[in-house]
Amino acid sequence: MWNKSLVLRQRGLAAEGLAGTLEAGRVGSHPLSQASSIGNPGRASAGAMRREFTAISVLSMLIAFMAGTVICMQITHVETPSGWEVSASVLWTLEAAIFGTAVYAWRPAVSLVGWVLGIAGLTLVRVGLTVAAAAGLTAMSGGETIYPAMQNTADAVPRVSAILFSAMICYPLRLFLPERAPRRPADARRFAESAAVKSATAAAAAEGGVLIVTVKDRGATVEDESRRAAETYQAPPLPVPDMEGAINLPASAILAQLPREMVTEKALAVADSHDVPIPLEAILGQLREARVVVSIAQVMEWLPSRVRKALVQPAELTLHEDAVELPLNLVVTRLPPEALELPPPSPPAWADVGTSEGVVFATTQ
Amino acid sequence: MASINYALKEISCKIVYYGPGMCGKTTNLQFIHQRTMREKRGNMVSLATPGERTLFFDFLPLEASQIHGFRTKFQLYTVPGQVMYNSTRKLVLRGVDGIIFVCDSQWEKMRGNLESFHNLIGNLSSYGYSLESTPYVVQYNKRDLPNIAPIEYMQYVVNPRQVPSFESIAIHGNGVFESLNAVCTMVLAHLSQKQKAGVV
Repeated sequence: MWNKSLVLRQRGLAAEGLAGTLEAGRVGSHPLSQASSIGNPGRASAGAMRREFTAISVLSMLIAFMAGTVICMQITHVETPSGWEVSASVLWTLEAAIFGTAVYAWRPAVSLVGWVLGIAGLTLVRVGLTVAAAAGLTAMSGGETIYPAMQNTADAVPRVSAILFSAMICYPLRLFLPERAPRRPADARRFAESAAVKSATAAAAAEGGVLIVTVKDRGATVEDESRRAAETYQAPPLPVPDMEGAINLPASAILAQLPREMVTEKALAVADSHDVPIPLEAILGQLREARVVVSIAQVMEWLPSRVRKALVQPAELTLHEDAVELPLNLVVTRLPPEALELPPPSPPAWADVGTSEGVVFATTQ
Repeated sequence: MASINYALKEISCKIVYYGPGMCGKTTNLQFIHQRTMREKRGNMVSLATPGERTLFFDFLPLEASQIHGFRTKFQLYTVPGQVMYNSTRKLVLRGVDGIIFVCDSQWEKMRGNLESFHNLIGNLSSYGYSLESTPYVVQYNKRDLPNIAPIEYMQYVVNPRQVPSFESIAIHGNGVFESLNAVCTMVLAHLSQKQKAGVV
C-alpha cells in the first residue's frame, strides 16, 4: 500500500512536468512531502503504516526491551575507567542531544511538539530500562541487595547501552510523532522572481542565453463565439475574373472526397480512367477562401455517367445540402495563370521607405 | 508603441511574429538568437509546453545598427498559434510596431493561414490598429517541403495588396533576417514619417 501510493504520486508528478513548473507550492519541495490528490493515498498510507506497527513493531519493541534490560544487568558492574568519569549533568545533556538528533533523523519534518515528545519518550524508555535492570538485579540477589536505578544511571557504560536500546525500542514509534505543516512558499506570482525562472536563468547563463520555461498547459477557456464572430475580418472582395471553361480533375480524387458509404468498388474501378470537368465559375469565387466547396448534387452532375451510375446514395444523405471540399492542390495547379492575377500592387504608405537607412543586425557566420 | 528616448538616444520598437500554429514563428526567433552576436541581443525567453508548443510567447531583445545617432532596439515577440489562445495573441499584439506574418506553405495549411490572417486583423482592430497603419511583411515559410502551394496562390490568398514578402526556410535560416530587416526598416521609416507629421 505504501509502495503503491508512492508510485502513484511519482506518476502524477511526472505527468504534470514537475521540472520547471511554475505551480506554487511544488517548486523545490520534496516529492514525498507533497500531498497527493490521487485517491488520497497519503491518508491511506498512514493508516497502513499504523497497521504494520500494530502487527510487527510491538513484538520487536518487547524483545528489544527485554534484551536491553538483560544487557544493562550484565554490564552494570562494568566500571567506568578512571579519568573517563563524566558528571551526571553532562550525561543528561548529552543524552538529550543524542535523542534530539535521533528524533530529527527519523522524522525530518517533525514539529517542535513532536520533537520534544520524542526526546521525552526516549528518555522515559531509557530510564525504564535502567529501572528494569535494577529491579532484575535486586530480584536475582534475592532482595539482599537493592540496586537503585539512579546509581546505574550515573554510570556511563550502562547508560550508553540503555540509550542504544531505548532508541531501538522507540524507533517504530516515530510514525506517530506529529509533523509540522508543509511550508507554503510565498506567492511567487511575479514571474521573474519565481524559483523556476531563477533556476532556469542560471542554466540559461551557462547554456548561452536561451531561457525555456516549461509550464503546464491548462488549456484556454472557451471564448464567446459571438464575440469572436464580431472580430472576424471581412476581406474586401477581389474582382473575380470573368472566365469560361473548366478544369479537369481525376475522378478518383473527386470520389475520395465523397462520403465513404456512397463509393462502391465498381465506382473506384471505373473512376481510374476518367476525369471530371469542373466549371471555372464554380471555383474562381472561392479561391480567395483557400477552399473550394461544392454540393454533392453538383459533383454528381459533373461526374461521367458511368461513374455516377456506380455510386449509391444513402437515404440519410441530402445531395443538395451536403457539401464536399475539392482538393485545393489539384484545383489550383490546373488553373490558367490569369485566374490568379492580382490587381496592381497597392501597399500602404508605410511600405515606401524611400531613402531610409536599412536596419542591420550584427550576425555571426 | 515605439518609444524614443532623446536623452539616451534610443529608439525601442516591438515586432510581433504572427501566424497559424506550427508555421515557424518560434523557429525564426531561435535562428535569430543563434546568429546574432551575443553583445547585440539579450536572452531569449520561451514560455512553452513540454511539447514545445508556444503557450504564451517567445521574446528576444535585439539591438541593431545606429541610425542617425540613435541606438535602435527591437523587441521580438511570437504569439501562440493555436486557435484557442486568442486572448494571449491579443495581449502580445498590444503596442506592436511591426508584424511579420509567417505562413505555412503546405497545401493543407492554407485555410489556417487565411484564418490566422483574419484573426490578426480582428485583434488589431480591437485596439484600434489596422494593417493600414502597422507595417508588416509576409513570410512564406517551409519552402523546402514537397507539398507546398505556389507563391502566386499564396500571394492571392494572404497578400493581395502585395506588401513586401519573402520566401523562407526558417529552420535553415533562409529568409529570416531578410524579413526582419525589411519590417524593421519600414517600422523606423514609418516612425520617422509620423515624427515629421508631428504625430509622435
